Amino acid sequence: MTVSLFIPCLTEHLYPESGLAMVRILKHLGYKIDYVDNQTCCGQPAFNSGYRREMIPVAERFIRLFQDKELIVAPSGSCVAMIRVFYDQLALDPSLMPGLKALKERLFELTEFLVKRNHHDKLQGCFPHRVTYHDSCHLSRELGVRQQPRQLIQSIKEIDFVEMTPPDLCCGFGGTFSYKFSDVSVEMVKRKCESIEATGAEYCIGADSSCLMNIEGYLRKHGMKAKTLHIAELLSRSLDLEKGAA
Amino acid sequence: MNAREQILGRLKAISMTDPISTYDDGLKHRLDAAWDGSFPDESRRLAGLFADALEAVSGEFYSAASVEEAAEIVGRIAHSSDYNAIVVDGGDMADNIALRVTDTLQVIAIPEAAQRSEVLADIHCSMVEAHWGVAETASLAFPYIHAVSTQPHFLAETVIAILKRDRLLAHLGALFNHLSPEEMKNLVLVTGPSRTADIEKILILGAHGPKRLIVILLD
Amino acid sequence: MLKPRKTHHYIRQALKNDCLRAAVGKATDLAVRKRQDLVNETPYWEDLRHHVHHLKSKVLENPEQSLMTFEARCIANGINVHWAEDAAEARQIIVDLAAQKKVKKIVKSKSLTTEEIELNPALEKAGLETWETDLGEYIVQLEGKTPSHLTMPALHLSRYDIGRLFEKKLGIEYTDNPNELLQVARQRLREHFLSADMGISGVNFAAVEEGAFVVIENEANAHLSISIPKIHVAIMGLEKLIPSLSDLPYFLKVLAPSATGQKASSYVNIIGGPQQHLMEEGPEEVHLVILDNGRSNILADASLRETLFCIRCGACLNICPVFRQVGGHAYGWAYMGPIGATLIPLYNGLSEGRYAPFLSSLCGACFDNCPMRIQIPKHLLTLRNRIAESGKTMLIERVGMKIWSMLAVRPRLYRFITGLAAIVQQLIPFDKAFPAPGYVRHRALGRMDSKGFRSRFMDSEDRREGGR
Ligand code: SF4
Repeated sequence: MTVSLFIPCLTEHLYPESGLAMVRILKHLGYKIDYVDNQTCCGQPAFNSGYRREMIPVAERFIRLFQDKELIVAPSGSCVAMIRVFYDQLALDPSLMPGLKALKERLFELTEFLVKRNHHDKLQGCFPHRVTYHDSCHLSRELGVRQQPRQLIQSIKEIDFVEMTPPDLCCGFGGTFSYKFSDVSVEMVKRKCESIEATGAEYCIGADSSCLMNIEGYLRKHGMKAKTLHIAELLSRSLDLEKGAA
Repeated sequence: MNAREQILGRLKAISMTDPISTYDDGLKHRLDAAWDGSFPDESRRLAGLFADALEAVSGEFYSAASVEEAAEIVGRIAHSSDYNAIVVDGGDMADNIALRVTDTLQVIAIPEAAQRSEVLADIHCSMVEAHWGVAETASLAFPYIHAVSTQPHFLAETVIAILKRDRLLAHLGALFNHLSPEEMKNLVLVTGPSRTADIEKILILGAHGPKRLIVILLD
Repeated sequence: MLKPRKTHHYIRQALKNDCLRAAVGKATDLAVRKRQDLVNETPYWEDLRHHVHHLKSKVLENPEQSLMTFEARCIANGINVHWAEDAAEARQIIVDLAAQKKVKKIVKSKSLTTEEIELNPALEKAGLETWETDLGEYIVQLEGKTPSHLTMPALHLSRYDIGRLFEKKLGIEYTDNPNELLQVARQRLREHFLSADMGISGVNFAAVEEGAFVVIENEANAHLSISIPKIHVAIMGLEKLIPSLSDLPYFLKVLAPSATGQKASSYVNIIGGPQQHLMEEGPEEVHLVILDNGRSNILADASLRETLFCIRCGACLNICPVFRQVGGHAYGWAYMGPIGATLIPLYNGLSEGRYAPFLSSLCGACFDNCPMRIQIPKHLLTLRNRIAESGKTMLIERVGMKIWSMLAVRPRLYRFITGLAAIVQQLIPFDKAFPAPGYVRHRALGRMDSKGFRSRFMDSEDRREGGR
């Protein structure tokens, strides 16, 4: 079976490693990989800032590009939610509606996909570290994906998984919110990072690069111990899939 | 055009079904069944639930097998708080109980409307009779159609409410099913003593109304 | 009055105030926990949410009919009904009524609608002695401010603040004992209850079928305000309708847990007219002011009408991670938090309300907590769109978005520009103020990868083995 990759902007430009890790995992599970060249952006930043007029052509382009794919997987809950949930709020070209419907049925966030297909048995690597998990807002609330990442983490051997309280509190990123109201955003990420620290975890695992970027930025600037790690990278590392990778 | 016509004129143009609601007609049925289903039928167990709910809102619960026993409880409460008078606004049961406490307590009928609030503001204890009680929330219903005054409920420091066991219902939904339109239209529902948490979320009983609410469940 | 320019100033003030934030944090945590416990005990909670949403949409399906029926039933019950187009009219109706009836003293129970129309200053200007009687509102009135939470008006003040306030304003000896403070307020207000000529309240629900309205409270102040004075004036937004009192239990069942984490509020007062004929007591006259103030236009707006389903429980505020940091005054208006962020531009106009919908990280917790199932994040997005499209956002952002839009449909150019951006970013010292100054003050910025996923992938083994 072939999986087409949907690589969100942050993965493309800032965190390519998590994208590559996802590729390794999918290949490890026997999937063929298809990279839809010429993909750009799903339009979320513009949509969230109110610029629908500007983002509609981008969204329409996205649908055209992906509508015929058999299976699409992305390492981001937020970008999948954009398409699965928020595209419905747009006044899109009506002729694209069947395409969007088909796309929504075949598009998955990585952890959701892995558990839905019962792959967690084949992903039991080893990672002898204490980790905690941050529920990204769109992944947990819009897509309802809360159990899947935990199941994947807990399948890993020797991992010491500790929940932070509360795990689903927003990290304060919110796209342009993080600079429009940066003072508030910083206080929010501060609270998140304190709850991460309180678990004593070495790694804060997440499934969305945007949250991880925000959290990592704060942890690093303030010399806090924990590091962030995308769940794709966690799985890839725990299985030692990096060997031989570029 | 006056405001009424302006507003209604604008609203006239609006007539729409909710585009968002995903409501199916079976839902209310299911909901009512689930709400009902979470309560036992027997009144003994309802009384237990009522008592728990009342205590959760800092009310005090007694049950009495007879009018005499209830009168004794009222006497004890009054004695322990040094009350020597009690205002009674009640139905038959409250009146019956009142008749049996006269040797230790001065029983005061509801004063004339003109002086009512002045007089009541100085009396510390009142006895009232609830028309219905709700086990789920420990709420008491007082339809005004059966009342002389609601001030005893609000101005006294301690309110003793008499509730007959056969007037105990399971939940709020059941209560509104039992109330006639006239009863529900002018009504107060009372749940526990008055309270506030407006200062640092610290709960204090006896905000502007009673500090103590005592329910005597009477067989 | 809303002052959009002050938004950032308000926020900075709030963030500087550690006491405030600790208090808001503690109070909201408690409310969230208590609410959650009750929801967990109620397996049919989701059905309840759907049902109350449905009841509200049903009664507002045909608002003209519902209001006319309601009005007729109210009149039949002896209630005097008044209609007000806007805040000024509503204020005038009440002031005129007070003058006509020679009212000198007014007691008020908590009403957000009177905050919305800024009634108190108008009453004072008309020489009417007016007392807020809810403890939190009384405190805020003495302070000369407005409530900072829908259900906890004095959330921004500590007991020490309140002690000092009482000392100064009431001339009592300083105490920070909450119970002693309450006793002072109780005693003062008791006198006012007994001597007031008019009581003013809000309305939680208005039942069309019966022509009766509902006032919910915990302190008994509302009951005293509306039963002792000879005249009772209630004010309601026209969206407060519910079909019938027999639907009320469902609303009660969701309201108290969402508002205060209680199973039930202490007092639910149902008023279906003057009660004199029933028990020689209560007001001789009941007046009800039905307020539009923009509501009919919101109702006409299919995509946003749902914001009027709000029952002002405050659950969305309590769970909101933004509200928790900034408190209620940062929003600058009578309604705050997530629902306030939608109502502010709806009631004050897109221009005046241009910041509020952006004061959210869109985390969605408000929707999960809203007993009325109001899709607040969706409405915030709709409003953001309207604000952007009406040209009320910053020019640089608008231009930036145009450029982005042009690039994002041209992949090769897009790649070129983003590649260039990566190189430029590499040239700038780490953690310096590019591209978002506020962002990096307390956060390191991620480094853009100069190659990016695409070219790394294209070069990698991964592609050659598994590719097409
Ligand atoms: S929007 Fe919902 S949660 Fe917020 S105050 Fe209104 S009813 Fe409550």
